Amino acid sequence: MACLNLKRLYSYLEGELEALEKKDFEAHLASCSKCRDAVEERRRLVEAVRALPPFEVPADFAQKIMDRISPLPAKVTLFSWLAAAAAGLATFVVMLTAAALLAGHSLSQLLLGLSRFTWNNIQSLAFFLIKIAKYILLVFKILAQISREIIEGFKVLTSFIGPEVQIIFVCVTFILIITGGFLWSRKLSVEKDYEK
Amino acid sequence: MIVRRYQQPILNYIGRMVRERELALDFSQEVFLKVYASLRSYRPQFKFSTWLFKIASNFIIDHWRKKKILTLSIDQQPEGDDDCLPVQVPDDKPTVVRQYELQELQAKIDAAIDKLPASLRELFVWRHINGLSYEEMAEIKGLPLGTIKNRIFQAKEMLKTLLEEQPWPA
Repeated sequence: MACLNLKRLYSYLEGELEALEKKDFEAHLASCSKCRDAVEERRRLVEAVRALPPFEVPADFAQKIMDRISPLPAKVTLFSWLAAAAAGLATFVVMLTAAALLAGHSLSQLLLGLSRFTWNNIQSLAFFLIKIAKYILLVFKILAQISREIIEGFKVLTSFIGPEVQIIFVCVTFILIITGGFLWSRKLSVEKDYEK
Repeated sequence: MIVRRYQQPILNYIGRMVRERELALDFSQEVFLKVYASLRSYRPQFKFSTWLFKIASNFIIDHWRKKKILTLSIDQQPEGDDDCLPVQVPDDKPTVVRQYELQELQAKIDAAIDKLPASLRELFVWRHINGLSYEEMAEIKGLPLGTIKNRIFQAKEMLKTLLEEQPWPA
């Protein structure tokens, strides 16, 4: 058997050779002092590296880190907001009921009052929503009017400029938008890479 | 506690990468703080130590980028990366590694490790000092397993050559 190349020699040292290959290799080692030395030398090198003394960790290393750590803020989710709101409302209702009962009101009076109160609030909310809808409609109308004016302005403007110039203008604008977008995405990706 | 469990491996790794003890201690602290701040982004399906070493590795890369250190950085590929091992068994030079006592050899090895290019040194330290598996290193660096193995073989051969080049006491 010819001398093995380094890659296989390292595979042998890492225990990655197949059983048959390993057997062949070991048989070769028994008869080839050059390969035996090469293996032994590399084995000793790795052993010496593994036995290198570790860096000494100061006794207060962990404590210094803990001193610099501030507790993580609790994660606020939509669910936690809703749960808090529901809990608040439930507490309010329970307290109101208890206060009404303690003040001498009967349960039927309390329910009647509560239903009136709820109905009045629903009515107020409905009026409020209708008002909002009206305002939104008004904003849309104004925007539509502005758009019409802009389109008219463009029509007047383009009547003075030839079609070739218009095409060039559109192309240049398109290229500028694409280049700007590309540069912006590159900037973001570089920042993200650094944040990793 | 995470810090106590991983302080030694992280300090061993960072210490070998930056070569200065005080700087290594500062960096190790910063890495643990970064880990703490990013705990929510840790996904349990990955090994914690792998994630930790990835953060440490990125921290060192960032430091070198900011300092604009022009040595072969650990995120760069060394020349002739794949299958570039010398194919033959070494020549008949005296086997230097066998000739010296362990302690003396370790002092020489320490100096030689410092001379390895950063990209090879990092993997070598992970493999033989931190005891990471090839698979873990491939995951941390996002490189194929074969590339990782080749780089470590390269590192070992380079280390051996550096040791042979060093002056030895008579």
